[in-house]
Amino acid sequence: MRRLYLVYAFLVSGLYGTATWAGWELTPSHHGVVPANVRQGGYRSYSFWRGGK
Amino acid sequence: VTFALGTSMLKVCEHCGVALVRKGADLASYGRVAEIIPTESKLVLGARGRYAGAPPFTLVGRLQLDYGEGTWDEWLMAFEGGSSAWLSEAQGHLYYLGEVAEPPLPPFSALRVGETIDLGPPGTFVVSEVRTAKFAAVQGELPFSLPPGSALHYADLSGPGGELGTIDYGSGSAAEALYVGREVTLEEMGLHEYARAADDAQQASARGLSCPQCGGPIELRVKGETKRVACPYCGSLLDADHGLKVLEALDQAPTQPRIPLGSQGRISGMVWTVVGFLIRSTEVEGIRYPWDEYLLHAEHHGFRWLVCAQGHWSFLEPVPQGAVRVSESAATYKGETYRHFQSSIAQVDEVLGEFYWAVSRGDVAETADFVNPPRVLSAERESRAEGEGELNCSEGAYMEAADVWKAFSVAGDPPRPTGIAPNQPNPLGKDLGLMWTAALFALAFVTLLYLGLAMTRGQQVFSEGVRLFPGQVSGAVDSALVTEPFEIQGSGNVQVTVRAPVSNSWIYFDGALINEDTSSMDEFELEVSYYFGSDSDGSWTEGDSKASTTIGSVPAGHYRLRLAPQWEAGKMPTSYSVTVRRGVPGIGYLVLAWIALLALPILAVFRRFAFEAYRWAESDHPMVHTE
Repeated sequence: MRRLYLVYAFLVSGLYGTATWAGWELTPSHHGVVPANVRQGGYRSYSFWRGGK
Repeated sequence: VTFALGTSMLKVCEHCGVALVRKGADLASYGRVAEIIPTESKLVLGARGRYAGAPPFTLVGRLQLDYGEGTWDEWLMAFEGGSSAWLSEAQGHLYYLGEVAEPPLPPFSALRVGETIDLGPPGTFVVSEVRTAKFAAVQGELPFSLPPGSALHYADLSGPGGELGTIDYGSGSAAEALYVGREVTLEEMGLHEYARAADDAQQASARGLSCPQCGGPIELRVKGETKRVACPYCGSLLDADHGLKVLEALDQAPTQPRIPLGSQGRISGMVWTVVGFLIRSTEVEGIRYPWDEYLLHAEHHGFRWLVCAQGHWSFLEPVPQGAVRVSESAATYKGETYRHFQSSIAQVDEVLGEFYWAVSRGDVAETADFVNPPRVLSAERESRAEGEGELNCSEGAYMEAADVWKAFSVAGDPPRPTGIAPNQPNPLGKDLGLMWTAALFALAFVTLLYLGLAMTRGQQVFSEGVRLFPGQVSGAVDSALVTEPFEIQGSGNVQVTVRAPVSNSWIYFDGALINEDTSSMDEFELEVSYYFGSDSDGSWTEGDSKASTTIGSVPAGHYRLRLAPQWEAGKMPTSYSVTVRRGVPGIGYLVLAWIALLALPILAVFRRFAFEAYRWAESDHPMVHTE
């Protein structure tokens, strides 16, 4: 039991260290790619709007 | 008639068997005394020895006492130089007892088994036995002049370091002498030469024994120490002191123990032989709870007990009563404290094999069990008439049934334990401390890592203030902000924070972090809202004038930020500001790590408590009281 917990605590600590160092987030952002024509025409006019208020 | 000791008062003539006593300068006769009862004594009158650097001694007197259930011998030692001491011989053991100055001692009638007596320099002793014995027979000389057949009162004492003591009350109630000593061996006393001859004689007499009731062969495994034998074939109880005389006849086969008599097993590095078996029980609220006790013996190491209750096993050894301090709630032994578990009246239900005391079916004793799992300490008080009685203590530890079975090579599987034994180790006992230690170290590690990263790694990479002008339209493309490129060095998360002077209104942003090197983007939403007011409960506020979001695993590179604001109609804020930071450790994973690390130790605490509550539910001190 105690050995199992030692392994478990080691894994949790390691996982936390990795997550924090790598900058993982609990809620992933909406990831995408900007189309080539947007890069040429400017970001302002491209509709990034997803939900709005 | 010649007295070897100047202090001797009585002597039995070796020629005619008449007991003579000194009466001033004359001798008086008590007449012929009874013959010495044959016992398994290893000593003989006239034997010479030497003890602890003292002058040589000679055994000049043998006093035989009968306590109703057997006899024992006291040998008077006459040292060269005129001093004397006693060598008490009981159940194959020898005890040297020398007379010491007696402090004020309680009268015999006031003595109680278990009480302590301060003897002065020898220390504080526990009264282990209070008894009256009959002066049965005598050989040689004695230092008192009581006639044979007299009742002699005495109390046996047990010292804190295993010492022994005896208060001799003679035939009255006032203490006449105090003796203190310890257990000795024949080798220590220089008497081993006599013992060899005695052993040979005993071996010869041990052969060819049979039960007078059923004729079954009886094998005595502990010759010289056995007082009672229960025939393994018919169960009849026999008196080993008197040629296996039948004390209680039975004609039914007794219950056979799971570990057969004669089995040998290795426990604690010693080979033990099962010589006796008892079934004892106690009654609680009309229900009888039985348990098994196996008497084990090893040459030169004495006796031990293997106790089995509800499939749980404990291995116990007798301990000096004087080394145990007992109170109602706890007992202490060798610096360890044992909590009181249960007191009860135990009764002997069945007897099988041989025993070093005069056991009988129906014997009862007050028992008190104290536990310090896996250890257990048991105190048993056997009460007799008029305040007399005996106290015995034993201490031991829990044993796994499988280990018992393996030690004694018993076929099959041991009975499955039920419930929780008083001294059963809590499976989470040692684990819990280590789990919490590991948990605290792990918690400290993750917390320090969080703080360290927050202080050293968080870095602002972009900041800009934006003014909003009348005429700008909420959600319109023209109102959107696209920042100048900024660089993020090193991968990690990125935190975007927006501040806006909203007042009872909101501003909302559709956002995107655009990687100019790869054209990838992470979209997000942010809303800053702040409301306040007052009602019947007083003033209130809701929200904040800033909002943040964090984007995970953002690679190093050049970025732009696009923010498209929307606001409440007619409540456009005059400005807002945006800040971008990288390497900001999130609190979410820290909270999760805390929960993950603490969940198991907390669960273990509950399980440990449940185990203890179950254990103590069977005791006199339940942790949880139920109606």
